[in-house]
Amino acid sequence: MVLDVLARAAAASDALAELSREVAHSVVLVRGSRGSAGSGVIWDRPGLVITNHHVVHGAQAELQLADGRRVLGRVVRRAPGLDLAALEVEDDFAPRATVGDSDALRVGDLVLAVGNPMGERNAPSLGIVSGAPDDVLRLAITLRPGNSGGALVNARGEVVGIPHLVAGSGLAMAIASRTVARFLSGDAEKAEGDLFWV
Amino acid sequence: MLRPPVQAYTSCMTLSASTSGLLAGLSDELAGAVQRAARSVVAVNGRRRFPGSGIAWQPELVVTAAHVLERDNDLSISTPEGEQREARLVGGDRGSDFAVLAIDGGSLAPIERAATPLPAGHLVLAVGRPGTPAPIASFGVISSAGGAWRTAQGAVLDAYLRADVALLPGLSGGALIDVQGRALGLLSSQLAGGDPVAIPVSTVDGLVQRILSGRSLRRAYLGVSTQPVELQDTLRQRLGLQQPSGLMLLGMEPGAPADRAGLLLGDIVLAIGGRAIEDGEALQMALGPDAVGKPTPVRLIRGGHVLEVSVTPAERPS
Repeated sequence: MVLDVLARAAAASDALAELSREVAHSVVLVRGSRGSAGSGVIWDRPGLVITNHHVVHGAQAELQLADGRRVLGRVVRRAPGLDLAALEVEDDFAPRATVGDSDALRVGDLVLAVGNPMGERNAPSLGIVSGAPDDVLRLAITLRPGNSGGALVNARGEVVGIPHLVAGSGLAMAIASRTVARFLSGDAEKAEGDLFWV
Repeated sequence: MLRPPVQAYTSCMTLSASTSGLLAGLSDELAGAVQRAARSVVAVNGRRRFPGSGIAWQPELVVTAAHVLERDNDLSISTPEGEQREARLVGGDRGSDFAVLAIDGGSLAPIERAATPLPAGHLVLAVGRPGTPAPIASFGVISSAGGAWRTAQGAVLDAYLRADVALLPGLSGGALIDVQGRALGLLSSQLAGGDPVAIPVSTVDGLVQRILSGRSLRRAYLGVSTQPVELQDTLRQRLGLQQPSGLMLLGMEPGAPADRAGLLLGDIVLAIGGRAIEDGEALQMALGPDAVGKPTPVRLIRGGHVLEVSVTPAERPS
């Protein structure tokens, strides 16, 4: 019985490690022109990387892939009010993320954030959804600067948010994937007033 | 130097079926546990800031953290269904950060309690409802579970649970639950100086019983000031004592229980109610609410001899 329990815990542990590894393929390190470093997610369409507005200050940023390759990303859209930015890259250069439905999250659901906190590459943090999902997700998870713009995935590995704010000890916020969808479709323009193409 | 991409990808991220199934199952169970417990977790409206949380303990009773109540009147709860109900403060104790509310109309769904306490290492969730339609939750593991302790406010409780759950605003008064949604304890952000701690359900039951039967949670009181003193070897040998130290009485409040029982300045207290007293902490632990009004033998050294005096502790004056 003890062995059975240990085997289940070990299986859960292995599964989390696999999830972290797989998600990391779609997470990039974003270096802005002012030396800022954050994270970005290769979104579910060719040549598109999503990150936080506050991670990229200039018109372009250097993106470093999980395998160490570097490519240049051009900022094609920004919404400072949503803290989102979209970058375009020349090629479809790495596995794209699968995007999930943030509205389907329930309080208590497991989430995993993968980003580049404090210069560490692709560091996972485990947490749960701590409040009802909205345009912004409230999370019980320990994040640090550099997680911004990275991937927040559900237990199935689908990206459901972009972490953007540490809200306290063990608390953080993420932009919900539904907000990213609105941002990309252009519907956010009216609502936010500060969305612009560059 | 930027290099051109060397490989084009068309696929999306892939997870093995076993990983996806296992983690999705775990996620479902955690969310399910929150949902089950949340049917019995209410919002408690008793302060100017956002509400705190409370647990439906009986169909007409809610337990909560006393510090989320800033007033004694004009209290209400919001049920999980969103209904607002008047609440009346039945009793409570700031030192234990504990209060019981009687709910107008009753018919709340009492929370299911875990049958046995969980030891350190177990996965747990913290569930609250600070006035939001949906519950809030954080998770972690039990860090420690233990017996009698003194809270940061000076009360003595007979057990505690500590967990590394994040303290979301408004979580106080909510439930620490196991992964099946059963209550393990009542959460407080205040009892341990800002760290999350929970009063275990069996202790909560005891506190509820005490309040419902009209007994106070206020601690017992002797009216003395003390200083721990070492007992020299020759004295211990002569009197046949094991303990290395006792508590010398240095101050005595006139008319207080110790004075009335005939205790004298300079007496060295060795035991109260059969419990060895080696320092001030032990004295505090011996003076829980149960000691109030109960004649209690105090063993002490006076003039080089051991004697026993009966003292009846009173309720601590506020």
